[in-house]
Amino acid sequence: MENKHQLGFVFRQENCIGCQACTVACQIHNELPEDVRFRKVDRYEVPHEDGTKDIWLSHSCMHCGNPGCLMVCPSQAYSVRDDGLVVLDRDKCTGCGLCVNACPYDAVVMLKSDGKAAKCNMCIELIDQGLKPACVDGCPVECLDVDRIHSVLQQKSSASKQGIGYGNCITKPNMLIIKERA
Amino acid sequence: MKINRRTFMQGAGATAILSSLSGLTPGIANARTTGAHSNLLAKRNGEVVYHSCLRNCAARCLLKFRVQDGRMTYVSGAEEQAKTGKAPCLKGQAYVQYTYAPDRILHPMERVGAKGEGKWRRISWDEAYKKISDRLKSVITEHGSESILPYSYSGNYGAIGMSASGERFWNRIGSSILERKVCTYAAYDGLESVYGTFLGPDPEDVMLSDVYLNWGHDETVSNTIAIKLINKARDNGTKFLVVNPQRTPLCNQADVYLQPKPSTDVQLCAGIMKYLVEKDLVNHKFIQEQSIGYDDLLKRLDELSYDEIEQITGVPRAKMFEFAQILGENEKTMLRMGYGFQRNFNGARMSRAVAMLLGVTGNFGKRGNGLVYDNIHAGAGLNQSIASGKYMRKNKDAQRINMTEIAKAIHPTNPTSHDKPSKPIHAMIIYNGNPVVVAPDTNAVIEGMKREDLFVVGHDMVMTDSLQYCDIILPSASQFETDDIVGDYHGYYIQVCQKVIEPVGESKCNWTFFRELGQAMGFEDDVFKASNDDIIKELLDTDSPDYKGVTYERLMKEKFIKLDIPQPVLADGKYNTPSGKIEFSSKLMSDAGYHPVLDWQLPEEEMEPKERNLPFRLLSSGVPQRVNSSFYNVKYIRAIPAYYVKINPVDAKTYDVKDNDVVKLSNHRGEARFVVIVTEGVLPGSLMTPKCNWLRMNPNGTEGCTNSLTTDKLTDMGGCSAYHSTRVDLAKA
Ligand code: SF4
Ligand code: SF4
Ligand code: SF4
Repeated sequence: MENKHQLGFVFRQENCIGCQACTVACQIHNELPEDVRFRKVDRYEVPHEDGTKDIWLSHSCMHCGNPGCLMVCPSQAYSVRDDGLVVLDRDKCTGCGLCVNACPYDAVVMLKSDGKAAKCNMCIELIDQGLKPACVDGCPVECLDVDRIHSVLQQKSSASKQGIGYGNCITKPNMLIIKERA
Repeated sequence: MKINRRTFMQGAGATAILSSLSGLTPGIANARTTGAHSNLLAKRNGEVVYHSCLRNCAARCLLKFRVQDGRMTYVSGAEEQAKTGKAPCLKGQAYVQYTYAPDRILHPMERVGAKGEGKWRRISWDEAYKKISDRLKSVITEHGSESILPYSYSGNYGAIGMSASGERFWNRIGSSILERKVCTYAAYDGLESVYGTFLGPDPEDVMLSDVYLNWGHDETVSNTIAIKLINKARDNGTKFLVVNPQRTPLCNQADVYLQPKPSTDVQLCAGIMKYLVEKDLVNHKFIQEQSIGYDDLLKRLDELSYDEIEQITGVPRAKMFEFAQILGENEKTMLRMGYGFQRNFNGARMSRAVAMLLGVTGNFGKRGNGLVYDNIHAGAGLNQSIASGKYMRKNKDAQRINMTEIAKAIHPTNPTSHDKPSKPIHAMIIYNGNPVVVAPDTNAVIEGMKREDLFVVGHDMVMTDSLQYCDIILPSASQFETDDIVGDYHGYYIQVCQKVIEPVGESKCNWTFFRELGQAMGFEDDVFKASNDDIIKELLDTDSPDYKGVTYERLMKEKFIKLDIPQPVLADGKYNTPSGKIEFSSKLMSDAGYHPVLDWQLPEEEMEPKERNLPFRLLSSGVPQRVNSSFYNVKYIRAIPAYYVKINPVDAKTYDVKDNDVVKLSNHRGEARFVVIVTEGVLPGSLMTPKCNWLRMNPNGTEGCTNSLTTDKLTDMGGCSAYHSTRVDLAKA
């Protein structure tokens, strides 16, 4: 059933400049090891008129409606909150690594330090204060946001689960791409 | 959740944060906090201290630091400064990691062993002062004070940190004068030849513009926070035009993007103006009333055909026409000109041509119109002359050394300056700078710095490539460990930089260092007793009309003040040129030996044959994750690539290279290795590598870096660096 409170990332891909401030803001907030990035920024060089152009996709966990990670986790380390956030409780993780393969979005990493999985929990400690996650707060061009998927889909006709480098799939990801300029 | 909030509210910042609670809360009333890391919030507590980012970036973000038990724990943008906003770029966000970098130098050291060998012995500040002052005194006795040279530029942009601190010492001692002209100066001359000024309109007025035209600027690198405003303007219908030989991120988002071959901007401007004239999209009334030389311009435009323009610039004429049409049919254009493209042998002449575009369209006299280049009103309005102790200099005619030519000035056998023999340099103090990898021709700089008879002192936060060749190394405090003020050079803001923490280790800020060194030299002048606060008050004690209503008390209380500069600028039709009008034909240009209207010469024509015939033009641009040679050691940033070369697919095929291959770029100055990125982001025949990368961090081998390749020949006018007028060869490594 559709969760009306489902939160998800809302990304204005047409404005992203690939600067990686979101990545670094996330690493700083979460005090991640240097080589671990929950949020990654990929460059795509796509055909355009008589040549190509660069488009960036900033992505992390999609907080899926039908999360592959949760399905396969034998230790029930994953859970879904009322607001639809898929959170990983690292205390329960045994490090089997099944979730890494089950996630179609490359969102789960194994930490070298303790051999357990880790991923974006949408900075729930911030969300629970009514604040935005670190990556959203860290985007200097303000093209990344978090909102309720349901209401964004209602309000913005261009909102979709399709973008360059990103597409809908069976796990029912919850990131929206919005386009305000043709 | 309860526990979280309670812990959280103990912090001093609780009010501010509660007031910004977003609408997200209600739907998650029953949320469970499994997997939450409440401890991650602890760093956001504490006392709030305001400081401004002092990097060489026009944006000048106002930052809010949290301090707990004397330690900086968290940084964010100060959202009340709406222009800069709540999110600085990633460099600003990493300032805690920058400040507490594990490789920070914590105490003074003296070289043991040969220069560049990397062997050091710890000494005390007192010993350091004694050794430096003894050596400087003996150098003065033996060779005169001009044989001492400061080397510093933009590592710290504070009014004290950059200028007042060191300058007091240099003026008092009577050293050689360092011309700090890496950047903007060629374009000053180019713009002044047209309008008589390089000062422009309030960039926040882009909201009122019909067209935002970016010529050779990369906001992603040094003005990221301006992009959100540009985006808002675009959402309201402002058209966006871009010109850049390197496809910057914003080029991909433009309504029309032109990618000319490097340095062909004069010809491109000619093509655009030709179209505007033919389609009668010029502003006749404006031209008649407010300009001279328009007929000369028309004649000059006739000399070049569209075929020739297309061939020289590589820009398809249809694209150029589309661009010109948008420029011509709209009333208000804000032109943002970059600081990179004028770093070419024809830099002043290109800037002049760009400025002429707004002349023919008459884009003046209304808000939302005008050219934004280097809006230095805020910094220039400060009383720098008193604060820097200019009155103390006795040898006003001391020799001048252009910092771009540093290698020539410290040459082991044949020192020169401005193409003439110069007095040899015997002592140098480096601060706020990293000449080995920032100045052009790295190998030549190293050769000079290795001279046994050159005494070099380095004051920096970390072991840079330049400190390797010093005799004495001094730990520098970061900008956050001292008080200062600063103006931006994009808008019109003056801002505070309040001391966030005490200096780390035994480090000292620039002014403490120069003040104490002055005392060690025996200077008894009162100016060497002043505190940072005293200097800030002197800086603000200014006659500049821009500073009307700005007082020390007000600035300290409000943290940032926008200077009240009447808009629109250049509205009265009076220009500070010899004729008092916009000059399409300029005596300033012909006196300098160039064509008075538009000069067609390209940089290649000025290169020596062995360089001119190399296959690639090398663009060395800034990248968003670094600024000049800063941030190379900073956690989270150092892992982001900065040793790559962008190459067009056509060239990649010819040279049989693909993504991630390592290639060697070389010319007669040196060589360096980079990792390949194949992209149409650069044109065939051009390469791009990030500028000012460090030697010792190059993962492809430490024999070279970008500036191992670049030219130290100066621009046509203004004495500016011309890094981009460099050609290289490429081979698989
Ligand atoms: S910070 Fe914003 S603009 Fe930069 S890469 Fe991330 S999403 Fe894109
Ligand atoms: S993106 Fe991957 S990790 Fe995140 S919820 Fe979906 S399947 Fe799980
Ligand atoms: S939501 Fe938090 S953890 Fe996830 S990418 Fe953003 S900052 Fe990182």
